[in-house]
Amino acid sequence: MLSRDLATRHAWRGAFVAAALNATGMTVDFLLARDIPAMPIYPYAMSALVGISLIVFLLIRRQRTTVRLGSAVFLTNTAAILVALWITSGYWATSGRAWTPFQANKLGTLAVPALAPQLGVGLAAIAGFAATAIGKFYVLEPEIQRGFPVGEPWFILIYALFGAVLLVYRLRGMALEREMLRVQAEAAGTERLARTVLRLRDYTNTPLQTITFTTELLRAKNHDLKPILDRLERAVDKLTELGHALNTYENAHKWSPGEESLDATIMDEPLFGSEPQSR
Amino acid sequence: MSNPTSPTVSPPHHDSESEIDTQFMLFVEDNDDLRETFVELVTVVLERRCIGVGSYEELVALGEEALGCSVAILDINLGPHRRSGIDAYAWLRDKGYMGRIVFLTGHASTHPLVVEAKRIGDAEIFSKPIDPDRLRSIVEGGRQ
Repeated sequence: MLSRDLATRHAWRGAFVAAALNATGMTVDFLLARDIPAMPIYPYAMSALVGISLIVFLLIRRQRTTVRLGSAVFLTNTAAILVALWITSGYWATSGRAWTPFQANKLGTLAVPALAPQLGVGLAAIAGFAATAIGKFYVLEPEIQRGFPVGEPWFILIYALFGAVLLVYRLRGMALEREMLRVQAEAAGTERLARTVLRLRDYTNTPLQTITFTTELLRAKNHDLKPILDRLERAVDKLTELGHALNTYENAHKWSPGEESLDATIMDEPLFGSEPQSR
Repeated sequence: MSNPTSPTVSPPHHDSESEIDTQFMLFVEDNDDLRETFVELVTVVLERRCIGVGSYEELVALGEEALGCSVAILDINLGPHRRSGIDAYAWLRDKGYMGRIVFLTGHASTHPLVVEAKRIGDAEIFSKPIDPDRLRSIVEGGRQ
């Protein structure tokens, strides 16, 4: 339960940050590109608006979020970015100005590992950033292609490889962290159970002792009661055996300071539902 | 809870001056039912005089009289936020009591008070419930 909650929160947060980066990054990119001739505003506006919409959506669904929802938002956000980059990179390439090809795509392949909620979603996003860069290159005129630096657009594949490795590394670390939390929660549950069982057992020992001695006393005072007292004694023996069987819980419980006075606390909890009395 | 001014005391069952009158058992236990049953059992069945007290304070109130017992059986936990059987043990030894002391406990062996009691070298620890034969052996052991 705890690990699932943690995964959900990670997914929500990753999608939220990705949408915020989209809205912010596209706005800044537009400001940088406003001098490019004929550069349209709509790809930037569309991508930034999608990012803002997704932020609002995530905030509304904050209390009812899931990993799947986070992944869907992340993919939608990435798709909006890819569409915008596909359009705008063509204008950058044909502007005739010095331009480092596909910087945003390269940045995307390195941002995805830090934010992707799931492995498949992350790999798809990285592949999307790499594929749009390479695809865009091949739809450009050969003359423009020849103006690209040596090795482009294939450098994006190195970025994509690094991104994929980082993504696996991060998700693996998160999975280990969640597993550790799960084990810790399980251990805490066992500890609570052991404490309750021990307290129940300890609570019954004094009454059992009273019954044992009372039985012996009655046996001495009235010999006619022997068959009845034998049955009572056997019943006490069974309960005593049960108490011994619970000894295994002793090592599972670590006593904490102030816990010694069990009598004080055992009645504070709705364990017996009776009036406090001396053990 | 017990009345601190009136410990449970069984009357001697022998008219003449005897070991029973002078060598009694001391039982420190905060549970009234168990303490009274114990005193009656020891008196009626084992034919020993027995004094039962419900707390450390009652034990101290007995003063020198408590030191005359042949065996002192002490419940380790004498109630929440109260002096424990280990305190009772320390008081008896401080007062020069040299007899046998037995701890009786309903708690787990890992309970801090039980662990502390285990560190005391010259006291035995028994877990509740003990059977009457065990009680008899404790009484007989104290008699020797």
